[in-house]
Amino acid sequence: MTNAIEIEDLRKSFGPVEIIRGVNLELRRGERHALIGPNGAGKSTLFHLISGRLPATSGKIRLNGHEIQGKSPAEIAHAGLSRSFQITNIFPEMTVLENLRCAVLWKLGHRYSVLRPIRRLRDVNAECERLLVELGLQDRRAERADTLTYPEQRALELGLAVASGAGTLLLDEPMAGMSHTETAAALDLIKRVTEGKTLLMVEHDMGVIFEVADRISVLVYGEIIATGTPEEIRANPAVQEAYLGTATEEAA
Amino acid sequence: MANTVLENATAAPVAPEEPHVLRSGETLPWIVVLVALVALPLVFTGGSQISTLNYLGVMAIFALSYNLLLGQTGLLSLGHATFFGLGGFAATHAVLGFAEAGVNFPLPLIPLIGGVVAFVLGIFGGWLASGRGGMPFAMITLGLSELVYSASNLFPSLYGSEEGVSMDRMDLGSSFGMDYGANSHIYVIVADCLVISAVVLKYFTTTPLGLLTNAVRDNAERVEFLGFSARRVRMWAFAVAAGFAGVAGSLAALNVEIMTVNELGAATSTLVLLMTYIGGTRTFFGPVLGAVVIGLMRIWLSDITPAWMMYFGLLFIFVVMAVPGGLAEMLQGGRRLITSGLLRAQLRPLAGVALAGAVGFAGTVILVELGYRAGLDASLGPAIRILGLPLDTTRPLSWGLGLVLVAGGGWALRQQLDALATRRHALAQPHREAVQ
Repeated sequence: MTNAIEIEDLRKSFGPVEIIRGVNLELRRGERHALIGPNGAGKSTLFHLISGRLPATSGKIRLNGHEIQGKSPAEIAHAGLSRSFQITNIFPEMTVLENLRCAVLWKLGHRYSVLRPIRRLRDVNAECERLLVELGLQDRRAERADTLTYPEQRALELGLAVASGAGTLLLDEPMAGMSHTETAAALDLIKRVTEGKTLLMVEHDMGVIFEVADRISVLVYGEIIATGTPEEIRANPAVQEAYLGTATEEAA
Repeated sequence: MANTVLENATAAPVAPEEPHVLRSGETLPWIVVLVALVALPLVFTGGSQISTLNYLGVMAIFALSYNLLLGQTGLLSLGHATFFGLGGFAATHAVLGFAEAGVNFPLPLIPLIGGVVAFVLGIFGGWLASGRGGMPFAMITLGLSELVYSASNLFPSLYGSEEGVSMDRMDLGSSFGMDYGANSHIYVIVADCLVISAVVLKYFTTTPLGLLTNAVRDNAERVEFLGFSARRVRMWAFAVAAGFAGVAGSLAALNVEIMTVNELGAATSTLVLLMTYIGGTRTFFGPVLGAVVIGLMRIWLSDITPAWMMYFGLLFIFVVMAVPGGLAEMLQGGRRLITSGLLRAQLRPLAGVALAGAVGFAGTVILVELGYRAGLDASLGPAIRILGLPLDTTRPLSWGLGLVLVAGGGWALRQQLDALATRRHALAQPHREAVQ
């Protein structure tokens, strides 16, 4: 069985500065993989490279065995990868329901159709209904997305990523800016909606990471210095020195 | 701020179903449009009056098509008249061609030809312009329209020379029991086309592609990550908008039986932009309202005053600054106010706003008219009647009156708007508690 994602010697430079410096990473199918690292390590850049938002300078990215580097975000989405954003990236002037409708159109094959009004498309309605319940947004369906509370917007953000039906999800700090109770609820939600999918997730909250991740990779200055189970990473002296030590001090 | 509180407080409990299907607030404009289309030709029966109605109908379709780009897809096209004009030329040449070939093609179907031609050209233009939204899109549409406009010198047989291409709409003979000699016959075609265009464009907004145009407007980048090409969505929106602009252009050609290159120039593109914006881009029928108001201003105001372009500009600035939602939103606000039952309590400050606004406006009119008479129309002499007052461009008192009215009206308007805001705030508080 091929891995969900395989990254080989991936590099990205902005001018003379190399931000991603030869990353190698494998995501096994169905695993929850966390990507950690100090600020400026290149985590978001790596996400942008995988999802096609930025072109890589060199290297290879394979999704389910197919090379996707150099492809557009839309093509990569068709290949089965979906992502959420660190900064909420939804359709602010549309309702919650309309947001979700946009996200399920492609997988249900309606695409650019003008054949029928969208409210008559039973499969779209049923799928949106299921998502609304799953995301806990059923009472907010007719609200404009920009009027939702922050955790609700984050839930919708996650919903847009999940709704496309992709088997591999990249979540960029899904819990950023949330309180403790909100984080717990969001974590529950993420576990529920990503059941059975391959997950690569950037997160700063170590409690969350050690609870959710099957494996962890540590990115420091554009290089992955370690990959392993949470126990292995916790015990890794290089990681402790480069990252965890300072992070726990900061958190304390 | 007080305004939003009021709106929230008075909004009916949100229906959990279907936010975009016809709500009561959306059926009323359809009824108004249909009633107006039937009633207007019964009231205005003169030949030139009907021709004016035809012109307004044409502009209404044109503005509706433009709003598919501006309001729905968030694209600022600076060259929409290109497709209005090309559709018009296609229709004109179709009439000439059928007449020469002796084909009895029904005239009401001619706009379909103009529309299809413009749609096909719109696919091509849209493909060129739609790589990105925002500034690049605006610039490319401007460039394309200049290109098409200047090409008129290269193809005189297509565009006609300076006097344009004329035709006789009666050459195709009678169909549907009309010979199309009278303007009222053309009105029947225009009115039908307006209703059909409105229905089709409204339908378009309810389809998956229509929803995606909104998504591209809100956040084009995210659309890509959902698997769609924002370029393709823009391109189709552009082509559909071009097609209906072509229908409008064809109708314009049938109405006046002549097509000139001015119809596809920058002035026409600006006109449709202003009509749509002033009418309101976030309401489906807003552009129709804008087309009617601006259309009438162009016709009537230009008879009354040489400074009509100035008022046109002032209206635009007023809308941009005071009611960005356009005249349609202003009407909706008024309707909400009446149905909220809070109108009586606000009547005094509202009357104050209206009075102060009227005084300031009167002062503006005096200054504008005096300015025009002193400058452009100096040969007509210094004495002038403005708003019934005998004024004189050489007398400081005349200018002073204008200045005093503008300054006094402006100052009073500020006071009255403050009073209105305070009043609304006071009204909103207990009302909100009652709702909760």
